[in-house]
Amino acid sequence: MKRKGQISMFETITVLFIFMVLIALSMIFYFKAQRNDVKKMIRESNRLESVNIAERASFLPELRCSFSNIAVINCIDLLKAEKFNSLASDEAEIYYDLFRFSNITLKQVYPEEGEWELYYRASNYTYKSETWIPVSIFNASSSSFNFGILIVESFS
Amino acid sequence: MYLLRLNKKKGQMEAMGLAIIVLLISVGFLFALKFNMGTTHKSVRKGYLSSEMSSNILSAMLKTTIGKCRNYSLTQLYRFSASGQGGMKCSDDPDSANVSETAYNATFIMLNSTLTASGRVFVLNATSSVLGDESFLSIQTGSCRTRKSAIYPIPLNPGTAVVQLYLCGD
Repeated sequence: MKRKGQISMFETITVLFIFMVLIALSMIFYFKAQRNDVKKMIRESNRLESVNIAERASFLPELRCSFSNIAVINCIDLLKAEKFNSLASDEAEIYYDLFRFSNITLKQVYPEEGEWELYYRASNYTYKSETWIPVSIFNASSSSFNFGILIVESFS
Repeated sequence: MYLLRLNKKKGQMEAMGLAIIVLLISVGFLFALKFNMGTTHKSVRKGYLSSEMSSNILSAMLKTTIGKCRNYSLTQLYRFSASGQGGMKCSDDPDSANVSETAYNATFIMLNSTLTASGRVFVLNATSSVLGDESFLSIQTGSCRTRKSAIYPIPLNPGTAVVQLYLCGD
């Protein structure tokens, strides 16, 4: 009788142990899958942040084109862009609130190629995300519009 | 007495078995929920970004001044091509390119340097009501199964030209 009781208890304990192992394995798999999803979400969020920074930069009054006080969408004034880097360095704290840790470059594609660094502030980063938006570049000297892109690399 | 104890044990074992089954079903349900809930959100955002991108590219590109063609904007060159005046020369030099060729080359350079360089396939198609909705400019860099597009209408006098840019692949 004692033996039967002991065997029966041993069976119960074994079943419970195997069940716990199965549950533990499935939870490990679940949390690993969750971690990959969280990493993907962080990458997506970084990419969205770099798109936000690019949109903020293109709408900045210190950079955008305006004619008779009317702002033009998706247009960067070249003369303003050439001076913006020194302005951003002088007023670093103000622009940090807008652009955080990022590298913003204006690159002209047509008719001639050209590149101007607008803002750069870096840190030790885990993720880097790059995005670009197309812009018109207005050259007031020749009263012409060129075609370019605003490249934003954001670091986190 | 012994039989009573045995029945109790059976009842306990059955209850434990039911509890285990309920737990396993809950864990399976959790997995199913997790894998089903992630996708829609991402595809809406990607689609939105593509149509914003194509709209912004068209808007910026068509504003561009073409210096080698009498400083006309690209919109103007499209207007000439859409009205059947694409054969007009870009300068007084008889060997100079005509308006249609210049518009095509400028468009190709701008889109190739941006979209193709970043691995995007695109289709650009410009049609004109004056030419019976025929295409007067068309560029395609690859096959296009799924696509987001932007439309840019150009008023003619009379009629309308429509420039459509498709970004492929999302």
